[in-house]
Amino acid sequence: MVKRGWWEGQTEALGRALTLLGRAPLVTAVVTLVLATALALPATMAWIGAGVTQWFGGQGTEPQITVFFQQTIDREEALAIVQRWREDEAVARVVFVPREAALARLLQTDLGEAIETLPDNPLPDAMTVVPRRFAPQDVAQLQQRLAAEAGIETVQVDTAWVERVHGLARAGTMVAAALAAWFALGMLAQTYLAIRLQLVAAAQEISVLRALGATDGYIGRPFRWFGWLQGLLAGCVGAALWGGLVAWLTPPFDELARLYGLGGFFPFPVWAGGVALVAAGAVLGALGAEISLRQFFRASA
Amino acid sequence: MIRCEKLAKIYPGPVAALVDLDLTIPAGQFLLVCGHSGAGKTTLFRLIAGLETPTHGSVSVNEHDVARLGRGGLPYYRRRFGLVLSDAPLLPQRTVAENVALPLLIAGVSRRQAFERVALALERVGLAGRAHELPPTLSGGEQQRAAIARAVVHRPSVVIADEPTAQLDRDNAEEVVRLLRAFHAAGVTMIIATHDEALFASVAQRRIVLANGRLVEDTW
Repeated sequence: MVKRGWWEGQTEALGRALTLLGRAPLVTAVVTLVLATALALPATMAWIGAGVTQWFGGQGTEPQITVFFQQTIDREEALAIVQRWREDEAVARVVFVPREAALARLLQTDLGEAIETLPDNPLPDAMTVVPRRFAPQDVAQLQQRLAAEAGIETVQVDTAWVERVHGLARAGTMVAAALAAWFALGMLAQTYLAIRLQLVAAAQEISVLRALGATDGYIGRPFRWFGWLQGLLAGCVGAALWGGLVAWLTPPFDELARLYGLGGFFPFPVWAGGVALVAAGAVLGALGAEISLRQFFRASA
Repeated sequence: MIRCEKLAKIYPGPVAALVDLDLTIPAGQFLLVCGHSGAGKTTLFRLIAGLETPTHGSVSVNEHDVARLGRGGLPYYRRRFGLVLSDAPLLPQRTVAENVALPLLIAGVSRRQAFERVALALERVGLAGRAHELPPTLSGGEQQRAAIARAVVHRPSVVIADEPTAQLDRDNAEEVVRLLRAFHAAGVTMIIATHDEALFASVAQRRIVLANGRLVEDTW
């Protein structure tokens, strides 16, 4: 007898799975839509979260380090220091603030009248340094290096603010991850139920196959394909839904970003999210089917 | 050779479907199992085919105890049998050919070779022209012949048939007997339950009678 190859067995099971999917098209469509929503919703929230985090890390709210020079150094020495730091790898940009400009700004505040009574300008030259990386440890390291520089009197940085921003970003990421896990569980449960219903509907067929000598592997193969296909289908529909939401949400978010001078809203490429959704759908579908089958075979052993 | 020793099956209730049955069936025998409804015929068949586990006692084939096969070995054990049982009807959503091909596909035979053998089996039972139809469109006699084709297509060593001629007219019933006789002549052990002993009188080599789950008569 010519034995079947692995591919022939899988192709036959795939055909059975497609038949099962096509047997109740309305049920397949509804289940696909539910699963697609479970995939697309957290993906959309993650996309918005990533975009907002990008805004917080953007130029409008970037942390600044204020550096005051010693009163004893002259203007040329201060500008030489400024130039040296402009070329530093850890620094995004440096703005020199001459003591005259600082005084003029101070005179426009409530302290102006008191300052005017002083015989000399009490303020030193200063510079504001914007780090290239905003992580608290990077900012602290840059602060230490600046403080160690000769000719620098004081270095001020609002590290608490930096930590707050990163804390917010971390919380946002965790919320998105928790939602994704929650919906993934929901999708697993839905696939489990869908396969369970298929198994119950095919009870007579399974009983006949068992009587004729079919192994659990043979009986379960079409249902494994079914779960995978259902998940893949949901992933594709979810990716399409997500793509539509992104296309719909991008213009208002872009406009908001423009109004606040924050740049565009491009958290991550749409194609990458779509591919991730399709893959997640297929994997979760296969996993849900596997759990359902194992439970069914254990119960009917 | 199939040997049943002190074989018993007690269902919850308790209902004793089979009680301390001792029976040895030599290879190649044509055995007729008789008895009223509820006598224990179907339970005996299910136990021999490995579809049920005995409450106590044992079934062994060629000195191998079926109970020791375990979950992994049972499917391969069941492939030795050709079944015509109400537990294993033709699947209504699959064509006649697909139904008959099942034992071969389950055993891993290539699809092409499986359907070549299905064509031969269907031709032998006179259903070559109905291969692509669904079972509910066939008459009772045709369905029974299709079930016999499925039972023998993989050349099993034992065929177990529970009332294979029930609800068939005389001509169809005789046709079924003729088929079973032909497969028996090829060396297949036949275990047949029937209420119509006269129909199998010319072919049966042994007759046992069950009553209330007990073996009450054994005639060679």
